[in-house]
Amino acid sequence: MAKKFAQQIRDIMRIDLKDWDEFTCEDIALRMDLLPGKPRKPIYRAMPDFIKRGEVVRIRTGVFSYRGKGYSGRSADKTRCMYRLIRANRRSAITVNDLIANCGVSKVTAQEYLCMLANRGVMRRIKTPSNQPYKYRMIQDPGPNLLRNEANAEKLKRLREAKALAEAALSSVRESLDRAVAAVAAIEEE
Amino acid sequence: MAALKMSRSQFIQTQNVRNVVLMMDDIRMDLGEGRFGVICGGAGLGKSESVKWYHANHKHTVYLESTAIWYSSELEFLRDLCRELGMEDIAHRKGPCFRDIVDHLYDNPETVIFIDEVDRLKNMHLELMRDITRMTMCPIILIGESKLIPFMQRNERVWTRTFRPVMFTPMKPSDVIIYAREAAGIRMGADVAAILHRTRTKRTTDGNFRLVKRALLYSVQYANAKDTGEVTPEIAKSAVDSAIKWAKR
Repeated sequence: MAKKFAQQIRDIMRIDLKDWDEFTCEDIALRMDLLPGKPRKPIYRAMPDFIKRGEVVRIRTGVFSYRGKGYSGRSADKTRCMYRLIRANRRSAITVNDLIANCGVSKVTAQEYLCMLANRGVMRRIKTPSNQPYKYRMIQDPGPNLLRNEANAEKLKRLREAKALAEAALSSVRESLDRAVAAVAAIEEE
Repeated sequence: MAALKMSRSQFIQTQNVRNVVLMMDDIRMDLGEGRFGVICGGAGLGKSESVKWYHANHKHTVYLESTAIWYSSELEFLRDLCRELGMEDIAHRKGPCFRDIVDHLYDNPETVIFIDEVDRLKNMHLELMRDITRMTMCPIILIGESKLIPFMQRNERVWTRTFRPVMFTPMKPSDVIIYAREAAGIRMGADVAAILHRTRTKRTTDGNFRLVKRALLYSVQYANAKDTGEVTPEIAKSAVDSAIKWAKR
């Protein structure tokens, strides 16, 4: 059975545009194969209903954001996502851009992870001509169990501990300041 | 004029990718109903890329690419599956391997198995997969080119267990516009998109993702060389010619 028009729009918003902070009716129209020049009125008419249901929020005129619930989106954590993609491509080469595109990680994260795997002897970095990005190829398959970047995890752990210490120090300073302010106020009252 | 740039770090969700996600949503709703899913279509349409993207972003999925060695040995197929499922001490005989897989999947009933390039396997592999999905209720998604469907239809017990297949179709002109916008930041009209979409060669059809991607890359290079800041129909035509030059030889 053909899908209803509103359901088609919903599918596009919750799948294609799920990572978009905001989008326009034009973005939806293109995904519905409505080329420029074709009428967009049905989409404009459908949007108020989505807004009424709370699935869509109007950010400004013509610009919307999808708030619908129920779609879990990316469930695996990003390192796991990178590792699974690398293993899925173990018969071919993979680049930093592939990880960015498929896992939504930053360039630094992707580079660090691939370098870590290369240092462990799991991947080999393949030099490419001039401006082309490096390619990495799996030379030893470590199996499906996730390989974490332990050095990075250690660094993050230290950062978290330092942050906790700083926060504790700040709160004790704040308490001392509050006590001092109260003492000054009491002196002034006397 | 600011130079146009082509980003390679974009995963473009075309209608095909959306269909895969919807099929997986439907199959996951029906977990416990051992069955096959099918994703098929010609080469260069993004089947494997879509499945790898889905696998990378979802837990409890296993992705296997068939190898030539499987053709002559079902044991190798079973051993590779054991390895992907994270088992240790993998058996060296078919029977124990099969039982280990079934036991593992009983304990992990939410597992979904993707097997790529199935169309080059034999009926015995399909029978093994059928037994696995029937006994464990875990869905198995088979990916292959168009001959995959006749291959499965020959085995009625397999075909009747098959969920509605997702047929990968060539990119549409609207997909070209989305791709140009997201990968290169180019706002493209329907006329230019139609030209880029028409990357026809003797062997490939319109909307082949690899060819369209190449044509768009050339378009960006030519637009930068001419300092136009946009892709005109003339540039698009030259880019398409360059993109399919290899096929004209």
